[in-house]
Amino acid sequence: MKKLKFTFHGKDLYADMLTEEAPLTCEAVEKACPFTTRWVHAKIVYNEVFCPTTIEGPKFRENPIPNVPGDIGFYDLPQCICCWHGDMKPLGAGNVFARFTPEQMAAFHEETVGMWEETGCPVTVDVVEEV
Amino acid sequence: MSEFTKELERRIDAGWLTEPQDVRRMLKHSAAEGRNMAQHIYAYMDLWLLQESLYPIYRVTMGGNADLDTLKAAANGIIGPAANNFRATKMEDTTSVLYRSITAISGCDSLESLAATIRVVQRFINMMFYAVDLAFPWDAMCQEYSRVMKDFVPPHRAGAVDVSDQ
Amino acid sequence: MSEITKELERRIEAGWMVEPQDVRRMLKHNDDMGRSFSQWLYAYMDMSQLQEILYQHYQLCLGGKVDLETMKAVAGSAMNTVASSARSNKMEDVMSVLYRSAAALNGCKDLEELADLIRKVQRFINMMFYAIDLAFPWSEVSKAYNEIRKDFVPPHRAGAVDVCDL
Repeated sequence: MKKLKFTFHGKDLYADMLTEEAPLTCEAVEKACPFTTRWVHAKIVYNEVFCPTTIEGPKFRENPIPNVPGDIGFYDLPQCICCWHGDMKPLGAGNVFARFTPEQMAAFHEETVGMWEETGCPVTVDVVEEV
Repeated sequence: MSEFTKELERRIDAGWLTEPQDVRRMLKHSAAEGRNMAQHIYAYMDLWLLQESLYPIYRVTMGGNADLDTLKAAANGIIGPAANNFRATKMEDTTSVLYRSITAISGCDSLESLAATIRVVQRFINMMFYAVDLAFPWDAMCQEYSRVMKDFVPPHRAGAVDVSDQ
Repeated sequence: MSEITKELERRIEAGWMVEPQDVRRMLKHNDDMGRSFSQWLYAYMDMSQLQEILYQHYQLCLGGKVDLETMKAVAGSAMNTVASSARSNKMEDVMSVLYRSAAALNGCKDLEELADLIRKVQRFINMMFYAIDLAFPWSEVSKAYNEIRKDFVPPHRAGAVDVCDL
Protein backbone atom coordinates (compact mmCIF):
# COMPACT_ATOMS: atom_id res chain seq x y z
CA MET A 1 0.00 0.00 0.00
CA LYS A 2 1.18 3.50 -0.80
CA LYS A 3 1.59 5.93 2.06
CA LEU A 4 1.35 9.68 2.20
CA LYS A 5 4.29 10.94 4.25
CA PHE A 6 4.48 14.27 6.08
CA THR A 7 7.86 15.28 7.50
CA PHE A 8 7.90 18.14 10.03
CA HIS A 9 9.05 18.79 13.58
CA GLY A 10 11.82 16.28 12.82
CA LYS A 11 9.32 13.42 12.49
CA ASP A 12 7.88 11.31 9.67
CA LEU A 13 4.10 10.87 9.87
CA TYR A 14 2.15 8.58 7.57
CA ALA A 15 -1.36 8.02 6.23
CA ASP A 16 -2.79 5.41 3.88
CA MET A 17 -3.41 6.47 0.27
CA LEU A 18 -6.92 5.59 -0.97
CA THR A 19 -5.83 4.56 -4.46
CA GLU A 20 -9.07 2.69 -5.18
CA GLU A 21 -11.50 5.37 -3.99
CA ALA A 22 -9.62 8.34 -5.48
CA PRO A 23 -7.20 7.01 -8.15
CA LEU A 24 -6.90 10.24 -10.17
CA THR A 25 -6.22 12.39 -7.12
CA CYS A 26 -3.68 9.91 -5.74
CA GLU A 27 -1.90 9.85 -9.09
CA ALA A 28 -1.79 13.67 -9.23
CA VAL A 29 -0.50 13.91 -5.66
CA GLU A 30 2.22 11.34 -6.31
CA LYS A 31 3.28 13.12 -9.51
CA ALA A 32 3.82 16.39 -7.60
CA CYS A 33 5.78 14.75 -4.74
CA PRO A 34 8.11 15.29 -3.03
CA PHE A 35 7.64 18.98 -2.26
CA THR A 36 8.12 21.30 0.67
CA THR A 37 5.44 23.71 1.78
CA ARG A 38 4.00 25.15 5.01
CA TRP A 39 1.18 24.16 7.32
CA VAL A 40 -1.62 26.69 7.60
CA HIS A 41 -4.30 26.32 10.28
CA ALA A 42 -8.00 26.38 9.35
CA LYS A 43 -9.82 29.41 10.67
CA ILE A 44 -13.32 28.41 11.72
CA VAL A 45 -12.87 24.92 13.20
CA TYR A 46 -10.48 23.15 15.50
CA ASN A 47 -7.94 20.58 14.42
CA GLU A 48 -7.86 21.16 10.69
CA VAL A 49 -4.58 22.00 9.01
CA PHE A 50 -3.87 22.34 5.34
CA CYS A 51 -0.87 22.95 3.12
CA PRO A 52 -0.69 24.70 -0.26
CA THR A 53 0.54 22.54 -3.14
CA THR A 54 1.10 22.74 -6.89
CA ILE A 55 -0.94 19.59 -7.52
CA GLU A 56 -3.13 19.67 -10.63
CA GLY A 57 -5.74 17.09 -9.70
CA PRO A 58 -9.09 16.20 -11.23
CA LYS A 59 -11.48 19.11 -11.74
CA PHE A 60 -14.25 17.36 -9.87
CA ARG A 61 -14.34 15.98 -6.34
CA GLU A 62 -13.51 12.37 -6.96
CA ASN A 63 -14.42 11.02 -3.52
CA PRO A 64 -16.64 13.67 -1.88
CA ILE A 65 -17.78 11.78 1.19
CA PRO A 66 -18.74 13.65 4.39
CA ASN A 67 -15.45 14.08 6.19
CA VAL A 68 -14.58 12.62 9.56
CA PRO A 69 -11.43 13.14 11.64
CA GLY A 70 -8.60 11.14 10.13
CA ASP A 71 -9.56 11.97 6.54
CA ILE A 72 -7.18 13.79 4.22
CA GLY A 73 -8.67 15.70 1.31
CA PHE A 74 -7.48 17.62 -1.71
CA TYR A 75 -9.17 20.82 -2.84
CA ASP A 76 -8.51 21.88 -6.40
CA LEU A 77 -9.54 25.53 -6.04
CA PRO A 78 -6.98 26.54 -3.39
CA GLN A 79 -4.76 23.59 -4.42
CA CYS A 80 -4.37 22.43 -0.84
CA ILE A 81 -4.12 19.17 1.05
CA CYS A 82 -6.36 19.30 4.11
CA CYS A 83 -6.06 17.09 7.21
CA TRP A 84 -8.77 16.65 9.86
CA HIS A 85 -7.56 15.24 13.14
CA GLY A 86 -8.47 14.70 16.77
CA ASP A 87 -11.80 15.74 18.25
CA MET A 88 -13.53 18.02 15.74
CA LYS A 89 -16.37 18.32 13.25
CA PRO A 90 -15.33 18.94 9.62
CA LEU A 91 -17.60 21.37 7.80
CA GLY A 92 -18.31 19.47 4.62
CA ALA A 93 -17.36 16.87 2.07
CA GLY A 94 -13.88 17.24 0.66
CA ASN A 95 -12.23 15.05 -1.94
CA VAL A 96 -10.80 12.34 0.34
CA PHE A 97 -7.72 10.63 -1.09
CA ALA A 98 -5.89 9.42 2.03
CA ARG A 99 -6.75 8.48 5.59
CA PHE A 100 -4.95 8.15 8.91
CA THR A 101 -5.41 5.00 10.95
CA PRO A 102 -6.37 5.83 14.57
CA GLU A 103 -2.74 5.36 15.61
CA GLN A 104 -1.42 7.51 12.75
CA MET A 105 -3.99 10.20 13.54
CA ALA A 106 -3.00 10.26 17.21
CA ALA A 107 0.64 10.86 16.24
CA PHE A 108 -0.35 13.54 13.72
CA HIS A 109 -2.67 15.21 16.22
CA GLU A 110 0.10 15.44 18.79
CA GLU A 111 2.31 17.33 16.34
CA THR A 112 -0.34 19.65 14.92
CA VAL A 113 -2.67 20.42 17.83
CA GLY A 114 -0.67 23.56 18.70
CA MET A 115 -0.54 24.95 15.18
CA TRP A 116 -3.14 27.65 15.74
CA GLU A 117 -0.38 29.34 17.72
CA GLU A 118 2.44 28.14 15.44
CA THR A 119 1.10 28.49 11.92
CA GLY A 120 3.46 28.34 8.94
CA CYS A 121 5.58 25.38 10.06
CA PRO A 122 7.50 23.92 7.05
CA VAL A 123 6.48 20.41 5.97
CA THR A 124 7.76 18.06 3.28
CA VAL A 125 5.14 15.90 1.56
CA ASP A 126 5.96 12.64 -0.21
CA VAL A 127 4.37 9.39 -1.35
CA VAL A 128 6.23 6.22 -0.41
CA GLU A 129 5.68 2.49 -0.65
CA GLU A 130 4.84 0.76 2.62
CA VAL A 131 7.98 -0.61 4.27
CA MET B 1 -41.97 42.24 -10.10
CA SER B 2 -41.41 38.56 -9.20
CA GLU B 3 -42.09 37.17 -5.73
CA PHE B 4 -38.38 36.64 -5.27
CA THR B 5 -37.58 40.24 -6.16
CA LYS B 6 -40.31 41.45 -3.78
CA GLU B 7 -38.82 39.33 -1.00
CA LEU B 8 -35.36 40.74 -1.57
CA GLU B 9 -36.70 44.29 -1.53
CA ARG B 10 -38.44 43.54 1.80
CA ARG B 11 -35.24 42.09 3.22
CA ILE B 12 -33.16 45.07 2.07
CA ASP B 13 -35.69 47.39 3.68
CA ALA B 14 -35.82 45.40 6.94
CA GLY B 15 -32.05 45.21 7.33
CA TRP B 16 -31.37 48.77 6.26
CA LEU B 17 -31.09 50.28 9.74
CA THR B 18 -31.49 47.29 12.03
CA GLU B 19 -29.18 44.31 12.51
CA PRO B 20 -30.52 41.37 10.44
CA GLN B 21 -31.12 38.14 12.34
CA ASP B 22 -28.44 36.37 10.31
CA VAL B 23 -25.79 38.66 11.77
CA ARG B 24 -26.78 37.77 15.32
CA ARG B 25 -26.84 34.07 14.42
CA MET B 26 -23.38 34.28 12.94
CA LEU B 27 -22.00 36.17 15.94
CA LYS B 28 -23.47 33.70 18.44
CA HIS B 29 -22.47 30.58 16.57
CA SER B 30 -18.99 29.24 16.86
CA ALA B 31 -17.82 25.98 15.34
CA ALA B 32 -14.90 26.13 17.76
CA GLU B 33 -14.44 28.14 20.93
CA GLY B 34 -12.18 31.13 20.46
CA ARG B 35 -12.52 31.24 16.68
CA ASN B 36 -15.34 33.80 16.53
CA MET B 37 -13.17 36.43 14.91
CA ALA B 38 -12.25 34.12 12.05
CA GLN B 39 -15.92 33.31 11.55
CA HIS B 40 -16.79 37.02 11.51
CA ILE B 41 -14.01 37.73 9.01
CA TYR B 42 -14.99 34.82 6.77
CA ALA B 43 -18.66 35.89 6.72
CA TYR B 44 -17.53 39.40 5.82
CA MET B 45 -15.18 37.99 3.18
CA ASP B 46 -17.89 35.86 1.54
CA LEU B 47 -20.20 38.86 1.29
CA TRP B 48 -17.35 40.87 -0.20
CA LEU B 49 -16.74 38.10 -2.71
CA LEU B 50 -20.34 38.19 -3.90
CA GLN B 51 -20.59 41.95 -3.89
CA GLU B 52 -17.40 42.36 -5.89
CA SER B 53 -17.92 39.48 -8.29
CA LEU B 54 -21.60 39.95 -9.12
CA TYR B 55 -21.14 43.59 -9.98
CA PRO B 56 -18.69 43.00 -12.91
CA ILE B 57 -21.05 40.35 -14.30
CA TYR B 58 -23.95 42.79 -13.94
CA ARG B 59 -21.96 45.42 -15.86
CA VAL B 60 -21.12 43.00 -18.67
CA THR B 61 -24.80 42.01 -18.78
CA MET B 62 -25.85 45.66 -19.00
CA GLY B 63 -23.45 46.13 -21.92
CA GLY B 64 -25.76 43.93 -23.98
CA ASN B 65 -23.04 42.37 -26.14
CA ALA B 66 -22.64 39.15 -24.19
CA ASP B 67 -24.00 35.63 -24.23
CA LEU B 68 -26.98 35.12 -21.87
CA ASP B 69 -26.27 31.51 -20.91
CA THR B 70 -22.58 32.21 -20.30
CA LEU B 71 -23.45 35.04 -17.94
CA LYS B 72 -26.01 32.92 -16.09
CA ALA B 73 -23.38 30.21 -15.65
CA ALA B 74 -20.79 32.75 -14.46
CA ALA B 75 -23.16 34.27 -11.89
CA ASN B 76 -24.43 30.96 -10.57
CA GLY B 77 -20.92 29.53 -10.48
CA ILE B 78 -20.05 32.21 -7.95
CA ILE B 79 -23.29 32.18 -5.95
CA GLY B 80 -23.42 28.39 -5.40
CA PRO B 81 -20.15 27.93 -3.45
CA ALA B 82 -20.78 31.15 -1.50
CA ALA B 83 -24.24 29.93 -0.44
CA ASN B 84 -22.61 26.82 0.91
CA ASN B 85 -20.15 28.90 2.94
CA PHE B 86 -22.97 30.84 4.62
CA ARG B 87 -24.42 27.58 5.84
CA ALA B 88 -21.17 27.03 7.74
CA THR B 89 -21.42 30.45 9.39
CA LYS B 90 -25.09 29.89 10.33
CA MET B 91 -26.36 32.69 8.10
CA GLU B 92 -29.45 30.72 7.21
CA ASP B 93 -31.49 33.47 5.57
CA THR B 94 -28.59 34.41 3.32
CA THR B 95 -28.06 30.76 2.40
CA SER B 96 -31.72 30.37 1.48
CA VAL B 97 -31.83 33.61 -0.53
CA LEU B 98 -28.74 32.66 -2.48
CA TYR B 99 -29.85 29.15 -3.34
CA ARG B 100 -33.17 30.53 -4.59
CA SER B 101 -31.39 33.26 -6.52
CA ILE B 102 -29.69 30.53 -8.56
CA THR B 103 -33.11 29.32 -9.63
CA ALA B 104 -34.23 32.88 -10.40
CA ILE B 105 -31.13 33.56 -12.50
CA SER B 106 -31.56 30.30 -14.40
CA GLY B 107 -35.09 31.40 -15.32
CA CYS B 108 -34.09 34.74 -16.86
CA ASP B 109 -34.94 34.88 -20.56
CA SER B 110 -33.14 38.07 -21.55
CA LEU B 111 -30.07 40.11 -20.66
CA GLU B 112 -32.38 42.79 -19.20
CA SER B 113 -34.13 40.42 -16.80
CA LEU B 114 -30.78 38.85 -15.88
CA ALA B 115 -29.26 42.25 -15.12
CA ALA B 116 -32.25 43.17 -12.95
CA THR B 117 -32.08 39.87 -11.01
CA ILE B 118 -28.33 40.01 -10.46
CA ARG B 119 -28.59 43.60 -9.33
CA VAL B 120 -31.26 42.97 -6.72
CA VAL B 121 -29.29 40.00 -5.33
CA GLN B 122 -26.18 42.14 -5.27
CA ARG B 123 -28.06 44.93 -3.44
CA PHE B 124 -29.24 42.42 -0.82
CA ILE B 125 -25.63 41.32 -0.40
CA ASN B 126 -24.53 44.96 -0.10
CA MET B 127 -26.99 45.42 2.77
CA MET B 128 -25.71 42.28 4.52
CA PHE B 129 -22.10 43.37 3.99
CA TYR B 130 -22.73 46.66 5.77
CA ALA B 131 -24.64 44.89 8.55
CA VAL B 132 -21.74 42.49 9.19
CA ASP B 133 -19.31 45.41 8.97
CA LEU B 134 -21.20 47.39 11.64
CA ALA B 135 -21.04 44.40 13.99
CA PHE B 136 -17.24 44.45 13.93
CA PRO B 137 -15.41 46.52 16.57
CA TRP B 138 -13.03 48.12 14.08
CA ASP B 139 -11.45 50.79 16.24
CA ALA B 140 -10.54 48.53 19.16
CA MET B 141 -9.44 45.75 16.82
CA CYS B 142 -7.16 48.07 14.85
CA GLN B 143 -5.49 49.14 18.08
CA GLU B 144 -5.02 45.55 19.26
CA TYR B 145 -3.70 44.45 15.87
CA SER B 146 -1.13 47.24 15.84
CA ARG B 147 -0.04 46.26 19.35
CA VAL B 148 0.31 42.56 18.48
CA MET B 149 2.12 43.26 15.20
CA LYS B 150 4.96 45.06 16.98
CA ASP B 151 6.39 41.72 18.10
CA PHE B 152 5.03 39.44 15.39
CA VAL B 153 7.38 37.99 12.79
CA PRO B 154 5.63 35.98 10.04
CA PRO B 155 7.01 32.44 9.62
CA HIS B 156 7.88 33.05 5.96
CA ARG B 157 9.91 36.21 6.56
CA ALA B 158 13.24 34.42 7.01
CA GLY B 159 15.23 35.04 3.85
CA ALA B 160 12.73 37.55 2.44
CA VAL B 161 14.08 40.66 0.78
CA ASP B 162 12.64 43.97 1.99
CA VAL B 163 12.45 46.50 -0.81
CA SER B 164 9.38 48.25 0.52
CA ASP B 165 11.22 51.47 1.41
CA GLN B 166 12.94 51.79 -1.95
CA MET C 1 4.62 29.41 -23.03
CA SER C 2 3.90 33.17 -23.14
CA GLU C 3 6.00 35.75 -21.29
CA ILE C 4 3.22 36.45 -18.76
CA THR C 5 2.84 32.72 -18.09
CA LYS C 6 6.58 32.36 -17.52
CA GLU C 7 6.56 35.35 -15.20
CA LEU C 8 3.64 33.95 -13.20
CA GLU C 9 5.47 30.63 -12.77
CA ARG C 10 8.59 32.46 -11.55
CA ARG C 11 6.54 34.51 -9.09
CA ILE C 12 4.71 31.45 -7.74
CA GLU C 13 8.02 29.70 -7.18
CA ALA C 14 9.64 32.76 -5.56
CA GLY C 15 6.76 33.29 -3.13
CA TRP C 16 6.22 29.66 -2.29
CA MET C 17 8.20 29.51 0.97
CA VAL C 18 9.32 33.13 1.41
CA GLU C 19 7.20 36.23 2.07
CA PRO C 20 6.69 38.09 -1.25
CA GLN C 21 7.79 41.72 -1.30
CA ASP C 22 4.23 42.89 -1.86
CA VAL C 23 3.19 41.50 1.53
CA ARG C 24 5.84 43.56 3.31
CA ARG C 25 4.87 46.64 1.30
CA MET C 26 1.24 46.18 2.23
CA LEU C 27 2.03 45.63 5.92
CA LYS C 28 4.25 48.71 6.11
CA HIS C 29 1.90 51.01 4.26
CA ASN C 30 -0.48 53.05 6.48
CA ASP C 31 1.43 51.83 9.50
CA ASP C 32 1.21 55.21 11.19
CA MET C 33 -2.52 55.74 10.66
CA GLY C 34 -3.70 53.00 12.98
CA ARG C 35 -5.65 51.29 10.21
CA SER C 36 -3.14 48.60 9.34
CA PHE C 37 -5.58 45.86 10.36
CA SER C 38 -8.18 47.03 7.86
CA GLN C 39 -5.61 47.19 5.14
CA TRP C 40 -4.41 43.66 5.86
CA LEU C 41 -8.00 42.41 5.91
CA TYR C 42 -8.94 44.03 2.60
CA ALA C 43 -5.82 42.69 0.91
CA TYR C 44 -6.74 39.22 2.24
CA MET C 45 -10.35 39.55 1.08
CA ASP C 46 -9.31 40.68 -2.38
CA MET C 47 -7.06 37.67 -2.84
CA SER C 48 -9.76 35.36 -1.50
CA GLN C 49 -12.48 36.66 -3.80
CA LEU C 50 -10.27 36.67 -6.87
CA GLN C 51 -9.09 33.11 -6.30
CA GLU C 52 -12.72 31.98 -6.02
CA ILE C 53 -14.00 33.93 -9.02
CA LEU C 54 -11.19 32.97 -11.33
CA TYR C 55 -11.59 29.33 -10.42
CA GLN C 56 -15.27 29.41 -11.35
CA HIS C 57 -14.43 31.10 -14.64
CA TYR C 58 -11.67 28.56 -15.26
CA GLN C 59 -14.11 25.69 -14.77
CA LEU C 60 -16.62 27.24 -17.16
CA CYS C 61 -13.91 27.58 -19.79
CA LEU C 62 -12.88 23.97 -19.30
CA GLY C 63 -16.51 22.92 -19.73
CA GLY C 64 -16.32 24.33 -23.24
CA LYS C 65 -19.96 25.45 -23.48
CA VAL C 66 -19.50 29.17 -22.92
CA ASP C 67 -18.83 32.12 -25.16
CA LEU C 68 -15.14 33.01 -25.47
CA GLU C 69 -15.54 36.79 -25.66
CA THR C 70 -17.99 36.89 -22.75
CA MET C 71 -15.60 34.89 -20.59
CA LYS C 72 -12.73 37.21 -21.49
CA ALA C 73 -14.90 40.17 -20.46
CA VAL C 74 -15.95 38.79 -17.07
CA ALA C 75 -12.50 37.43 -16.16
CA GLY C 76 -10.80 40.65 -17.29
CA SER C 77 -13.24 42.74 -15.29
CA ALA C 78 -12.55 40.70 -12.14
CA MET C 79 -8.76 41.03 -12.58
CA ASN C 80 -8.88 44.77 -13.29
CA THR C 81 -11.05 45.43 -10.23
CA VAL C 82 -8.60 43.71 -7.88
CA ALA C 83 -5.63 45.30 -9.65
CA SER C 84 -7.08 48.68 -8.77
CA SER C 85 -7.52 47.67 -5.10
CA ALA C 86 -3.98 46.28 -5.02
CA ARG C 87 -2.68 49.71 -5.99
CA SER C 88 -4.30 51.28 -2.93
CA ASN C 89 -2.83 48.51 -0.73
CA LYS C 90 0.63 49.14 -2.16
CA MET C 91 0.77 45.64 -3.58
CA GLU C 92 2.49 46.89 -6.66
CA ASP C 93 3.56 43.57 -8.12
CA VAL C 94 0.05 42.14 -7.84
CA MET C 95 -1.35 45.26 -9.46
CA SER C 96 1.07 45.03 -12.37
CA VAL C 97 0.59 41.29 -12.85
CA LEU C 98 -3.19 41.58 -12.86
CA TYR C 99 -3.38 44.48 -15.28
CA ARG C 100 -1.04 42.68 -17.67
CA SER C 101 -2.85 39.37 -17.26
CA ALA C 102 -6.20 41.03 -18.01
CA ALA C 103 -4.67 42.46 -21.18
CA ALA C 104 -3.23 39.05 -22.11
CA LEU C 105 -6.71 37.47 -21.93
CA ASN C 106 -7.58 39.35 -25.12
CA GLY C 107 -4.97 37.38 -27.02
CA CYS C 108 -6.44 33.97 -26.15
CA LYS C 109 -7.71 32.27 -29.30
CA ASP C 110 -9.90 29.60 -27.76
CA LEU C 111 -11.44 28.49 -24.47
CA GLU C 112 -8.60 26.07 -23.78
CA GLU C 113 -5.99 28.79 -24.01
CA LEU C 114 -8.15 31.09 -21.90
CA ALA C 115 -8.59 28.37 -19.26
CA ASP C 116 -4.81 27.88 -19.05
CA LEU C 117 -4.14 31.57 -18.52
CA ILE C 118 -6.93 32.05 -15.98
CA ARG C 119 -5.69 29.04 -14.00
CA LYS C 120 -2.15 30.39 -13.98
CA VAL C 121 -3.29 33.76 -12.65
CA GLN C 122 -5.51 31.98 -10.12
CA ARG C 123 -2.52 29.91 -8.89
CA PHE C 124 -0.49 33.10 -8.46
CA ILE C 125 -3.37 34.58 -6.45
CA ASN C 126 -3.56 31.38 -4.35
CA MET C 127 0.11 31.84 -3.48
CA MET C 128 -0.47 35.46 -2.50
CA PHE C 129 -3.52 34.51 -0.42
CA TYR C 130 -1.49 32.03 1.62
CA ALA C 131 1.37 34.52 1.98
CA ILE C 132 -1.01 37.17 3.37
CA ASP C 133 -2.66 34.61 5.65
CA LEU C 134 0.71 33.64 7.14
CA ALA C 135 1.48 37.32 7.83
CA PHE C 136 -1.44 37.56 10.28
CA PRO C 137 -1.12 36.66 13.99
CA TRP C 138 -4.43 34.75 14.07
CA SER C 139 -4.15 33.35 17.56
CA GLU C 140 -3.25 36.59 19.35
CA VAL C 141 -5.69 38.79 17.47
CA SER C 142 -8.51 36.27 18.01
CA LYS C 143 -7.96 36.48 21.76
CA ALA C 144 -8.16 40.27 21.56
CA TYR C 145 -11.39 40.05 19.53
CA ASN C 146 -13.03 37.83 22.14
CA GLU C 147 -12.16 40.32 24.89
CA ILE C 148 -13.37 43.31 22.90
CA ARG C 149 -16.62 41.60 21.91
CA LYS C 150 -17.64 41.16 25.54
CA ASP C 151 -18.51 44.85 25.84
CA PHE C 152 -19.24 45.70 22.23
CA VAL C 153 -22.83 46.40 21.17
CA PRO C 154 -23.25 46.98 17.41
CA PRO C 155 -24.86 50.33 16.61
CA HIS C 156 -27.66 48.69 14.60
CA ARG C 157 -28.76 46.29 17.35
CA ALA C 158 -31.33 48.63 18.89
CA GLY C 159 -34.73 47.29 17.91
CA ALA C 160 -33.33 44.11 16.35
CA VAL C 161 -35.17 40.86 17.02
CA ASP C 162 -33.11 37.98 18.33
CA VAL C 163 -34.49 34.66 17.14
CA CYS C 164 -31.25 32.81 16.91
CA ASP C 165 -31.83 30.68 20.02
CA LEU C 166 -35.30 29.59 18.92
